[in-house]
Amino acid sequence: MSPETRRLRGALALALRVQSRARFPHVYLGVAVALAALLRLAAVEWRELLLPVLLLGEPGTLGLYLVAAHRYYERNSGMDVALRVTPLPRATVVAAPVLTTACLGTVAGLTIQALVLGVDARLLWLAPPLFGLVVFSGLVGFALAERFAEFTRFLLGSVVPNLVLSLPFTTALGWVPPLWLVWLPSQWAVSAFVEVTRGEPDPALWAACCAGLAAANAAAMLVAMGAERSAAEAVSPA
Amino acid sequence: MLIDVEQLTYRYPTGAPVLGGLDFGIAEGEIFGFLGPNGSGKTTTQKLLARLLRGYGGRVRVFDRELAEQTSRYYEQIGVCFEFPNLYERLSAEENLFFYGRFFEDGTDAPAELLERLDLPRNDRRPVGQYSKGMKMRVVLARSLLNRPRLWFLDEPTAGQDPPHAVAIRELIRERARQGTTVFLTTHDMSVAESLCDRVAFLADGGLATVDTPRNLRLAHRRRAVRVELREGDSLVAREFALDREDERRAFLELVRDGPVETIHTLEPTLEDVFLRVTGQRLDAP
Repeated sequence: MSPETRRLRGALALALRVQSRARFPHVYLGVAVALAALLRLAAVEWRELLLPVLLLGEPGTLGLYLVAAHRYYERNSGMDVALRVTPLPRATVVAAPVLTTACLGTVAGLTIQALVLGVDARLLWLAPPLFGLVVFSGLVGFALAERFAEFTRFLLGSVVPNLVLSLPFTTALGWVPPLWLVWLPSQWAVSAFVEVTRGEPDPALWAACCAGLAAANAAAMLVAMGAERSAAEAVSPA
Repeated sequence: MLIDVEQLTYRYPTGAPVLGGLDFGIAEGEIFGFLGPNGSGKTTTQKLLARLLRGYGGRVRVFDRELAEQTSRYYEQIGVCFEFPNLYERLSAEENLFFYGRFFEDGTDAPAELLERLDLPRNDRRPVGQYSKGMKMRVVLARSLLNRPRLWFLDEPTAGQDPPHAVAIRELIRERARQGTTVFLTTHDMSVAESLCDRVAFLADGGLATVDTPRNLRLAHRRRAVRVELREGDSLVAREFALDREDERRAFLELVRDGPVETIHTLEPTLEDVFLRVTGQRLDAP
């Protein structure tokens, strides 16, 4: 195993342990089960309408806020500084909490799907776009957490990005025409979801949506790393 | 020299210059004390050397390589003990060290042994958030030793410790230095510097006032005099004798031979006195 792989594995294990102690899995799965119960109680037409909204929206939105919470926890404890005097690459510092949160978010989304529609093979097709969406939301959350020193300012600052990212989910409700939102990564997750759940999915379209999400995540990664670098260099004289 | 600094300058993006051209070198295995009051620039210098701050002026070579050109390999060779307890408070001490140790390539010491060496309990599953500040600082100290650093940065290492633990930490620092670790110690506690450091640098207003051994500094600023306390009737009287003057020396010897002397002390200055004389500032200045 190369040193970089070893460090990434170490960082992922650390992020997972920190998030477990902060009860991230409990939050994610608790909300997922609650939403699934709500959907099961809903009338069939409402259930079909709301499923993509909740299945993609819950992991995405929670991903943004939980990754930011993870980062604020590291910053407030001074661990961000302690990590900077290790050989850990900056990319790994950014990626580790995002990837572990994305795993939790994917499990949460699939849990909603399984509890509402039952377990079937389509779940596996849903996992990649779901994972990609939570990675994107998490990177946005990380970058915003680096941008705003105080959590309350972050909460205000995150409203607009979160609303914009959530817009595609409303297409399922027929509120906004999908064509307007084609440039949003969350729209690609919605399109992939539609491909997976409709009768005869088009694998090429599904793959294109997943590739688009991967490209968006690469760009978001660069932005998050830049935000991390700026925050580190703006360190106070204290 | 393990660290070779020439004309080091630094200015925070929003403020006035903090360091105004420092020159010093540190040999391998040396315990080098960097002393100054709060705000003098000592922590900034340590942050620069630990590469937590970038964009310095001048020349800084560490391990025979310019600091700005160091790679992540640099962090394999240094350990940094911060002056505040920066830990994952929801994790145990051993978890904090175990996960941190996984980032190093060259192998690490066993977390449990390091914790035990610093009088912290083994197999303690309590989160470090439940520890006292002194215990947390010892966990930070243990973490800074995990990767067996060649260069060890210590910022107020005994702050917040009770006397037995402060003594134990000093002994640990001496032990590591004897094993070849170079120690860069920033403090405003003169007793720590005096008892530990091979050489000290006095920093004031972003400049170096002097660099020398504690002994040389004390000798250079001493008064060749003794203070004698003697009993006169029911009261204790103190008298000073300058040893460079023949008449006072003779008077002192007569007093020792015949007088009711209770105590005799040479009037060597403490390091704190020397600092005050050299820089015109007190170490505890706000």
